[in-house]
Amino acid sequence: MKLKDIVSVLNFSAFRPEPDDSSAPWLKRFPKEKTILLNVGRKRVSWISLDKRGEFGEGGSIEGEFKDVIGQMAPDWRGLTDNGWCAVSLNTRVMVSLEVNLSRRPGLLEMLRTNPKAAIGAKAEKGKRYSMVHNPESNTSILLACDEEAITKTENMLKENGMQIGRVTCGLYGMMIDLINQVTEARKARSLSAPGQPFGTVLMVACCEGSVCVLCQKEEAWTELRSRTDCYGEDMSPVLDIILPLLQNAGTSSHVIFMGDNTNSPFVALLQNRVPGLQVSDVSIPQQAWKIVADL
Amino acid sequence: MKPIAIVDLKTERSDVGQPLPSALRLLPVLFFAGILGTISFTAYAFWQIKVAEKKETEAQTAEAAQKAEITRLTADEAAIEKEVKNATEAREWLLGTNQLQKLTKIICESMTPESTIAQLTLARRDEMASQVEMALTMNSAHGQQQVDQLRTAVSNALGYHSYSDNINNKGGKTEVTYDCTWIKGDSSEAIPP
Repeated sequence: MKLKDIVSVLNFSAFRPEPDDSSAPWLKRFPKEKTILLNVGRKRVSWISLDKRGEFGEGGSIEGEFKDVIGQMAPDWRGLTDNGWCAVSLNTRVMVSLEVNLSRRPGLLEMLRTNPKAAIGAKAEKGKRYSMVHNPESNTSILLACDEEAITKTENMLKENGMQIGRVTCGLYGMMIDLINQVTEARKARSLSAPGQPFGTVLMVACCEGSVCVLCQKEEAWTELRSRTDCYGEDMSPVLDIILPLLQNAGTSSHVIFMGDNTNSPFVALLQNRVPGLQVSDVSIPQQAWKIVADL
Repeated sequence: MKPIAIVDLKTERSDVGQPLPSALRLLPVLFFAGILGTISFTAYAFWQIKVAEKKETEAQTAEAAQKAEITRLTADEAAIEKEVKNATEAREWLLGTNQLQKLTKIICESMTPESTIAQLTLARRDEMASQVEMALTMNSAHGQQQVDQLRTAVSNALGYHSYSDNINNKGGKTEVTYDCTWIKGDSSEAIPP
C-alpha cells in the first residue's frame, strides 16, 4: 500500500469512482469539481462548463477545426475547470447504422470494445471503435462506428494542451438511444392503457451539432436508419432531405418525434411547412445534448 | 433492460480501479474521530493537571496557614499555661500564707500593751514545706506572761498545741529564749523543730 492510497482513503477519494472510470456517472466522478463538456464537429467546436453543483455554466462555440481551435481555446477551457477534466462528444467521423442478426450473447459489448472482429465478425473494420444497442423485440440492432484515429488524435491534442479526458462519446448516438427509450416507454404505456391497439409508425429524428440520425420504427421493428455528420448549420433544410425519403416509405400517418440539441429548434416548423398535417413532436429539453453527454 | 444512452469510446487506462465499498468509509471516520478524541483527551488531561496543581498550591498554602495558626495557638496556650501556673503559684502562695496571716494576726493581737514585737520571721523550708519556722523577738516586761498569752491565743484561735517547750534563761532576766514545736490539734504526727 502506497502513501497515496492511504491519503486517498483519508480524504475519501478512494470511495469515489476515478475520474476516468467509464462505468460511473459523470457527476459521481467529480463531486464538487468544475468540469467542461466539449462538442467536436468537423468545422465547429462548442463547449459548456459544469460547476461544482453539477449545473451548466459558461458556454460558447467557435468555428474551425478542432486541431486549429484547441491551441487558442485550451487555456480558457482549463480555466473553466478545477483540474482540466473534460468530456468530449465527437460528431464527426462517426457512422450510425442499422444491422440485422448481430450476435446477442452476454459480454458482447465488452468484447466489442476489446475485439470488435470477434463480436461482429466481418462488419468490423480495422481502425474503428464500436458500440451497439439491440432492439429487444426484433432482430435488428443499431451499430455505432467511430474512427479510432479521430478519437486518439482528439485525446492527444487535449492532453498536449493540459486537459484530461474523462469521457469520449457520440452525442448524436446518445440522443438516438434516449429517443428509442422514450418511444419504448410510450409503447409500454399504450399497451397498458389500450391493449391490442397498434402503436403505428414512428420516425425518430435526432439532431446534434450539425449531425443527424433518423430511425424508422414500425410497431416494434426498426426498419430503416439514416445518419449523416456535419450535415447542417444554421439552416436545417438539409435535414429534410434526409428525412423525407423515410417519411415517404413510412407514410404521412407516421408520427415524427424530434430531439434537438436544445429547445426552440426551427426544424419542427420547417417540417410542418413542408408536409402539412404531419404529426410532429419536439421532445427536446433545454441543454438536451449536453445533458446526454454528461448523463444528467 | 433500458439501453444506456452514453457509451464511452475513449482509450481506457488499464489500471482503473473500482471505488472502495461505502461501508469502509467508517475507517477514515474512525481515524479522524480517534485523532479528535486523542486531542480532546490530551487537552482535558492537561487542563485537569493544571487544576490539580492549582488545588495542590492552594492546599499547601492552607496547610502553611493552618500550621502558623497552630503555632500561634500553641504559643498562646503556653502563655496561658504560664499565666495559669503563675496564678496557681500565687494562689497557692496566698493560700499558703493564709495560715501565716492568721498566725501573724493572732501574734499581734496577743501582744499586751507592755510588749512590742522587735522582729517576727516566718519561713518555710523547701524540704519540709508543711513546717513553718517562726522566730519572734519581742520586748516585754512580763515575758513569761506574754508567752503564755501567745500560746493560749494560738491554741484557741488556730488549734495549735505546743510540744517540747524549752525555756532558756541564758541572758538572765533580760533575754529569754523559748523554743517549742506547735502542731495542729488534729495532726497525729509530731514534727521536730
